[in-house]
Amino acid sequence: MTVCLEAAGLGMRYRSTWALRGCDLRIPAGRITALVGPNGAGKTTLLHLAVGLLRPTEGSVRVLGWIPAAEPDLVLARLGFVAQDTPLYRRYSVAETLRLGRALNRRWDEAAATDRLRRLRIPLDRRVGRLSGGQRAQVALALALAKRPELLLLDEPLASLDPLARRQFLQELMDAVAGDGLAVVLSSHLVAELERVCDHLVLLDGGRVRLAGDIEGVVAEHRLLVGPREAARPAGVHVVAAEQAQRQTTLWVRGEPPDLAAGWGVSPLSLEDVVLAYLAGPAPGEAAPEAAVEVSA
Amino acid sequence: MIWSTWRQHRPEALACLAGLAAAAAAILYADASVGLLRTNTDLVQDIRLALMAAPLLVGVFVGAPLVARDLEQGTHRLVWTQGTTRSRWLRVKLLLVFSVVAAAAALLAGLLTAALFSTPEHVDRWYWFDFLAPAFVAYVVFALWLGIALGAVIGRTYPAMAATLVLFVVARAVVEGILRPRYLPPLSIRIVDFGTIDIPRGMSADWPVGYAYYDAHGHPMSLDDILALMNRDRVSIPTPNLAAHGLSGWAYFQPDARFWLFQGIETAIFLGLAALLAGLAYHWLARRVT
Amino acid sequence: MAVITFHLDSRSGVSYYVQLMQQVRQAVRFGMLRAGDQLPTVREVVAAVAVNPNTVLRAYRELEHEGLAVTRQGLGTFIAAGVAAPIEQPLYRSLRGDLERWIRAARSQGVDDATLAALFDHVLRESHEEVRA
Repeated sequence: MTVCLEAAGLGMRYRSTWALRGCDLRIPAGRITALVGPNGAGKTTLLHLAVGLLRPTEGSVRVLGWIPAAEPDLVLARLGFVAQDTPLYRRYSVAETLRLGRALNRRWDEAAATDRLRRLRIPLDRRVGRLSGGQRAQVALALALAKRPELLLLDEPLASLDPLARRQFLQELMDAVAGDGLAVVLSSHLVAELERVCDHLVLLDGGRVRLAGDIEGVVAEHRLLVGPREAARPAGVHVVAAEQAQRQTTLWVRGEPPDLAAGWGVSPLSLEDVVLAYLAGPAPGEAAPEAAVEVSA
Repeated sequence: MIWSTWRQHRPEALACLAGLAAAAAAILYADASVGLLRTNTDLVQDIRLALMAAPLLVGVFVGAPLVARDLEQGTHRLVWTQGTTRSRWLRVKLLLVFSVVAAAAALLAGLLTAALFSTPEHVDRWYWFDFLAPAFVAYVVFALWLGIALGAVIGRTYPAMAATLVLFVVARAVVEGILRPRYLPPLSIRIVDFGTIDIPRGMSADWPVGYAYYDAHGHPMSLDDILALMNRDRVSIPTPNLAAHGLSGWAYFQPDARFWLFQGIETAIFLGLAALLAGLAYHWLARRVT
Repeated sequence: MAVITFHLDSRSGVSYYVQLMQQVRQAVRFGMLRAGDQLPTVREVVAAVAVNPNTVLRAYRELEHEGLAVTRQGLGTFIAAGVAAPIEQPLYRSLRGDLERWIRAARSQGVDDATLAALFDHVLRESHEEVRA
């Protein structure tokens, strides 16, 4: 299994705060990865480090095998990136925007880009500033795809889009993946909308990786246990989060309890529930996990 | 990348072109009609005013937004992540703009210099110091790089424009007002009568840079002091002759022969500052954290 | 015009690839897909429904394992020959009518959908045991 993005002990400091610290990561190639976490978790910082806009304070990051800051030519030629809020030159027409891409990239498939935009009925001679948010996002996506990248990084691409625009964006993205087989990393602070599209997950919180793995495995490995308050904690599972009510204890756990005492009910968790459990912080009485939880494929 | 630089800064480029054309036309018209040496006419004064302002306008409206606008609007996240590295993007764009601006400035100043010296009439060169080819181009180049460097460091367009305005005016005022009279120690001639400076025939083209008065012991005296003294003694010594009062006075000049040397020094100062600023801008942007 | 369109329910708790398989099976059962018909390509499905392409590939692979579909390299995925014949139209209409009447009757007595579904599942399962007995 090849790795398209990996980080080792990656850290980034702005003035006195660490936006990322001790970040270890291995994102497999050929996957659509969801990079999730609350605002300020370090998602944008991680993506900016991967794309070479930032230089790490400590540790290293490799994209498609190369270090972005050291070999920008090699990395940028194979990497597509759409930054947060899809920055584009508002006064340029759509056609001029594509021309800009053609001028700055060696490999460029103008025909694919114009075909895609025509199919979406986005007029090529209209100024970018006059397009709707959804259309701008499509232009930014078409721009990033026209260089035929091996890996596409998207920083909160759906954030300011209405549901229809979101659906259309994901349709175009999935169509490109199905056609070209590129790997994608998309960041979002919403998990639910990424679940149908992504097959791999990286959860960042407070600048560290808390959970990483194939989504199917993550969902299969985590469970909800509900039992009477006085009952002993089941052994053989790792408790991610816990909640005490008057009569009842609720545990979010990873692992399969070998045998459950009477009174304990088990139910599956949705991906969003698993993520929320990890974000809730360590369960009372548990130590904060130092190492990230990695679920292998 | 030439197209992308042009497209991105098309409005400024067109404005500069228009300004250049207007200034050149004005100079040619003035030269043909009243003659540029008629410095008491409105036309010539307006031309001087415009040319005085030109470097400032270049610095504020071309230099400051050049990089600051991309940083402020976040489009650097777009253009620095295409297939061109950040350093190549900067190199090409900044050098391109610099070349075009410097060429335009050289053209305009060259035109003015040629027009000024085309007649056999005597030109008061010191009066046109700021507008002749070497110095004018140096001011424009300095203003441009000042704007670019401030735009890079400050990262926001309007604050960068304001800072460029202030710092450019200060730099020009300090150099012209304080440094230029002292590039080389000035020559002096004695002042005989208080209030009259007799300029010998051969020195009419020289540049007066100041005067000083001293008492019998060599201590400096201000104009007010001298007036008070002469008033006090007006009955006993009713003459403005300084020696009669036990005073001495000197007038200082920079000789006309030093004119081109001074142009060279001032040009070197501003080009040197421009080079430092260019280095600062480039270094800052290469290591910039987003 | 696609042969059939898929619809995915993100809240049902059923894996997406299973939902796709169920919808193919249903289409075959009701005669919308017959032996030899081509299933929409991965690209068509993904462009219509915004789901991970691997999910579609997996669904088609599983259908192939079950013998319901056949993938021909470079051509696409097709419904296998010898697939169970769809239910006949008149029979379909009569069964559907009976079911609708049954549902209406239950509802008028205040029975909710979840109970109805559970009742149906239960009786259906028991009927297999009766046959065995």
